[in-house]
Amino acid sequence: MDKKANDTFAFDLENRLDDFFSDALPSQDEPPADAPPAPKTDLPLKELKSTILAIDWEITDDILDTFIGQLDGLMEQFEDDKVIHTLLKLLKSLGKYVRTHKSKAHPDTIKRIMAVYSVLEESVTNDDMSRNEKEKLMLEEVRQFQRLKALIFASSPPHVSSGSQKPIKPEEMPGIDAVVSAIDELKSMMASELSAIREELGQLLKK
Amino acid sequence: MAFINTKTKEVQVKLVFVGPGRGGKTTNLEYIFSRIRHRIESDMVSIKTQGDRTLFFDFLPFELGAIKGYNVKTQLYTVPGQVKYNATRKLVLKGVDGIVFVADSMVDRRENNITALNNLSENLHFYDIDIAELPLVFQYNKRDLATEGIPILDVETMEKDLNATLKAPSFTASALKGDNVIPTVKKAISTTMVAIREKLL
Repeated sequence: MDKKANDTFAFDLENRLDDFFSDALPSQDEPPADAPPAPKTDLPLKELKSTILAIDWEITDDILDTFIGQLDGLMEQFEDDKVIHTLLKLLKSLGKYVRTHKSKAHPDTIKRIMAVYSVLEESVTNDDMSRNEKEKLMLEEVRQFQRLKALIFASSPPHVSSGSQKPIKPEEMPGIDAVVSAIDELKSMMASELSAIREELGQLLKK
Repeated sequence: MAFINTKTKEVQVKLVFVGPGRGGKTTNLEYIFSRIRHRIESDMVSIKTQGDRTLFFDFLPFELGAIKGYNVKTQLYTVPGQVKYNATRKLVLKGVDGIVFVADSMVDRRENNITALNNLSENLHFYDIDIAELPLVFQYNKRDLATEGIPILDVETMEKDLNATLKAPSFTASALKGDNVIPTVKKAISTTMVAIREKLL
């Protein structure tokens, strides 16, 4: 290949790349003119779905903070809908657990997040679904959440388990109360585990 | 290997962003997408299927326009950085024309960078590609963390760790702020296009 052809090619290429990437940015506030307006409830869930996919791929503090922030927003939005609100609470508990344990979180946690999201999406977007059907799905998710919690307890090292707490069977508790209780227990478990980790870190630093 | 259709005068170039997990590969692609979204027809896509055959990556295709009479279509990919997703990384590297290696500048990620580069070399070897022969650009990402008091590796150390033998072009960057993201991708595209120019001229 002759030098002239090479030079012309490089020149054309540089010009093309400069043109392509140097355009002025459009205003961030204005959506593209041809973009259809997103439905009110669809857009926040869409964002939540993207965040959940991102969590499944890579667990980072930023992604989990975004996730919990989005859930807080949705919980406010769906404050009067107990089913949706409970599902969002479940997701938040699971999210907080993942944020604490990151890649060491129980391997079923992400699957559980996806499953709860799937029910949430169905409950929000499917207008044909009855209230009763939604509640049944939600209660099943609560049961699965309790099952995961039991698994986490079972796999926790002895020195970080609370020991004195007697596991409560899911069937012994009513729906919403069981969720609230489960969330509290999960919080307590995470706090005790964090405390144990801090102690271990302190000892390591002393050494 | 770039797909070149001499009849339709079309070239398809595949660039893959690789690097350690949580290093900023997706942030790079998101920034690029934010800069060019107003002028491209395509969207940034994340592909995922569940189950054993997991395939999950970001994909940003766009048409660069005509160069020497060829319509150049560019495809940017990122691959997951976590160790457990090596099968996906290997798969996405199939047919790669150029690489952007996004290294994490944080001090405690030094080993992760080296491991990820070795992993890239091994995966390319699977396709009979020598990393030294492939268009490659290094990006030393997260330089902005220094302003927050987080210890980062100096550029000389990163060059010595990663680029001592490859001698590839390199950029310091902050993908989060967009610093040097566009120069990195421009360099990667131009280096790749120059590598395939013999087939176009």
